Amino acid sequence: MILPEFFALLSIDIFLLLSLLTCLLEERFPKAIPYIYQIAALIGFGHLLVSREFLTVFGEDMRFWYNFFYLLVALGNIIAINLYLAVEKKLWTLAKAWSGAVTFPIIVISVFFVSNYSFLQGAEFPTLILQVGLVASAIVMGVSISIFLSPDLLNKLKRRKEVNRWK
Amino acid sequence: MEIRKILYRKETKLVTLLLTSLLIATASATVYYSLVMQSTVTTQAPEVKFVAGNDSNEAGATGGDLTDSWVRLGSLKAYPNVTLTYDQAVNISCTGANHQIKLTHSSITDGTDAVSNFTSIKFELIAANGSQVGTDFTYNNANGDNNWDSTPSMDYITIHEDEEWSVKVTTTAVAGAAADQVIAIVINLDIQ
Repeated sequence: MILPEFFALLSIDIFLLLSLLTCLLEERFPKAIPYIYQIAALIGFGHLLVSREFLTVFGEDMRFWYNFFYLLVALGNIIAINLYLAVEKKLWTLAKAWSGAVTFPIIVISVFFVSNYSFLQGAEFPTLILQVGLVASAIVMGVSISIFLSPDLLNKLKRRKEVNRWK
Repeated sequence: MEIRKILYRKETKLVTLLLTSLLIATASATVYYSLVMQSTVTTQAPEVKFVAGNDSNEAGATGGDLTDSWVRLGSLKAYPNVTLTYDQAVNISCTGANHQIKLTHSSITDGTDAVSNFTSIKFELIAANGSQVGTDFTYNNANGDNNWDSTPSMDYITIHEDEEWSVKVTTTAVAGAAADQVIAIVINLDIQ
C-alpha cells in the first residue's frame, strides 16, 4: 500500500537527482542551483517529519494534496531545466537528451505511482491515461531504437525536409 | 591556496553533494518506513455478535439494539423448586468467516446469602437444528451454601459463516428460596 508521503519521498529523490545532474553540468547552470536543490530536498525531509508527527491530525486527503503539490513542484523543476537548456541556452542536443533521459522517464514513473495510489484509494484516473501513456512510451521507444540502430536516419529525414523546403 | 583550489574543484563539490544526497535520501526513506510501520485501527461491525432470540424480551435482553458485541440479560428469573428454561435468551450470529467461540467465566456474586437460594444456573449453546454444541456452562451450588461449587469452562467450538446459535439459560432455585435474591454474572464470549 502506498502512503501519500511516498510522493514526497519521490520528490526528494528527484530534487537530489537534479542537484547532482546540475552539479555535473555546472558550466551550463548558475553555481547556486545544485545547493538550492539540496535545500529543496531537505524541505521535503521536513515535510515527511511534519507528516509523521501530525499523522492523526491531518486527514488522508490533506496529506495527499500537500505531498502531490510537492511532487508537482519537483516535476515542474525538471521541465523548467529542460526549457532552460532548450530556450535560454539553445543547447538543443542536451535538451533532447535531458527530455529522453530525465523528463520523460520521471514523468512516466510519477504518473504510474499517482494512478496506482488513486486506484487503491478508489478514485480511479480515467483509463485513457494509461493507454495514452503506453502508446507514448511505445512511440518513444520505437523511435529511440530505430535511431540507435541506424543513426543516419535523422540525417536522411533532415535532408528530405530541406529538399521539400527548396521545392 | 591549495586547499581552496581543492574545495572549488568539481569533483569535491560532486562528492560533497553525493554524500549529502545519500544522507537525505536515507533519512527520508527511514521516516517513510516509520510511517508505513505505524499501525492503524479501524472500527467496524463485529462479525460475531448478539442478536435477539425468541425469549430475549422475557430475559430482559438489552444492548446496542442487540446488534452489538455485548448484551445484558436483566430479567432472568429463578423460581423455588422449579427449573425455568429460556430456550433463546439471546442468539449469537456469525456474519463473517468461520470463527471459534466459547463462553468464559468473568465474575459471579459469591460468598453471600443470595447464593444459597440457587441450585444451578446453566448456559448452553444450541445450534439452529436444536442440538447442543459444546459442553454445558453451569454454575452449581449442590450443597446449598453461600459459595458456588466451581467456575465453569468451555472449549472453543467453530461457528460457521451465516450460522445463528441460541444461548439457552436454565435456572433452578432451592425449594425454600427467598424472594428478590439477585446474583450478578458476567460471562465473556471469546472469539478467535
